[in-house]
Amino acid sequence: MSDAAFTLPDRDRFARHRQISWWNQDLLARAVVIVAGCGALGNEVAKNLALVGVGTLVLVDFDRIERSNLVRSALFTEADIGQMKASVAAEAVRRIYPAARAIAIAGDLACDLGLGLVRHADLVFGCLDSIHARFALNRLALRAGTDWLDGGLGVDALQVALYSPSGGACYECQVTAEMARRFANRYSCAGLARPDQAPGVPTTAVTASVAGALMVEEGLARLHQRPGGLAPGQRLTLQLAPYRLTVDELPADPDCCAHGVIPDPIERAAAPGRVSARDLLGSQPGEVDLGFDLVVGLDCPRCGRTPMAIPRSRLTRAAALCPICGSERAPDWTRRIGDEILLAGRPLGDLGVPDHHIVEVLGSRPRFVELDGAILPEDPAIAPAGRKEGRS
Amino acid sequence: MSDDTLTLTLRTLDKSRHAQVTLPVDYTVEELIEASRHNWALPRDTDYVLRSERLGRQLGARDALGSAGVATGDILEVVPLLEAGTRPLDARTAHGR
Repeated sequence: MSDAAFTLPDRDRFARHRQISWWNQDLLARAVVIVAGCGALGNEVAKNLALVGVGTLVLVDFDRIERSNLVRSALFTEADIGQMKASVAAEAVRRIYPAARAIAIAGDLACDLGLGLVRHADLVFGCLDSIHARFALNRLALRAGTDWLDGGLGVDALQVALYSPSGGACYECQVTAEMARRFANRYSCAGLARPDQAPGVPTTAVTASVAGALMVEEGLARLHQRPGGLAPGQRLTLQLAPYRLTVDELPADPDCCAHGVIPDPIERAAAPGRVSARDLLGSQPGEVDLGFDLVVGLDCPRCGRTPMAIPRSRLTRAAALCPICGSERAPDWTRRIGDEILLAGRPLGDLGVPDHHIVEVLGSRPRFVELDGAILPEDPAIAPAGRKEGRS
Repeated sequence: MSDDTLTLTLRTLDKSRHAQVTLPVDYTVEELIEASRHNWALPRDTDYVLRSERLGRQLGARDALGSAGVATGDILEVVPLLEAGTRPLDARTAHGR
């Protein structure tokens, strides 16, 4: 018997995967994926991604774990109640697959997930629970040039859709008048978010589990560039009672304003904590577009103005009430920081700009600048997998 | 049967509700969804789309049935857009806050 025939299969965690002809475990180890939303569906997706050996998972959720989450969320226990969903999910991912790099962003999609991070991701899994969050993720992913999968759950049905900057309809192409009305209801006349207090939609661990499995199956097909899955702009609907599966092409809206990828080249700069708008502008006149609305002051009709710097999506209607007289204060916000604004000299991190965000510098030499951060290596040549292989 | 009308089978995704309807060709998808909501008392806090069984695609909300490629004898299904999680605010509730 030759030495070459002697193997130790039990030592290879992924031995069964390697028996699959098209499977590429190294590609999965290099993959960077984002799981947006760590509720029931996000739990299932993160669990499956950890089991198949995805190397880097970024888990995003601003919410805390409640008792009612425990009947649908495989990664949460009684002891986790009150903890941040993203942090607990990241810990669970590391328990399932210790070699995984699981990064928690306990924050809001709209302002805490850097656009550059989405750009460097191979795929985004949308495990969200509202049209508002889907709008935000759709804009981020299309702008970053990254495919995203959107999962939705009902009691005995589920849906998975694929949206891509490469073509096809996007989530926003599907907006109906009813959706627009509900979207508008989320915000007060002053543009501040109202808290969601309505009861949750009934779902079970069963639909979450099936949808999570289908999303990861689809994700594996995308990462391996394997044909046969959803095409961009298609949605799969699975009805469980009675059993039925349909795949539909979604109508693209030629006037949809969500489409458009940030063009290359994108310059690099220091992390948001170490660079200001003034640094990016240099000696040239101009403005820095943050890519989100920044509240720079709250104006009370009786007590005057309170300066501040906070992303608008983080400011609730309750927080906008004047602490002195109780009047509703009007927010004053901007997307652009010019050299003349006092905030221009402050680090962008103080203004709520997240690590790895991409800002647009508008001046004599307009350009996009990606800021560094703690999540990705400072070297821009990170090794993307699957679809983006060979891009940078 | 007039060229100005289409006779269709309309049903929900789970097939629990169905109807034979004759509609003008310029009737829009959005109007048909709204009529389905009304007639079948579908939940107001869910968004719906219409899919054509024969065409294998979702129909554009603003399209007229005739221009969307719908033909007499087609089966159209009212499909909910599934969201999961927290239900966004109802307009009446929102005004109260």
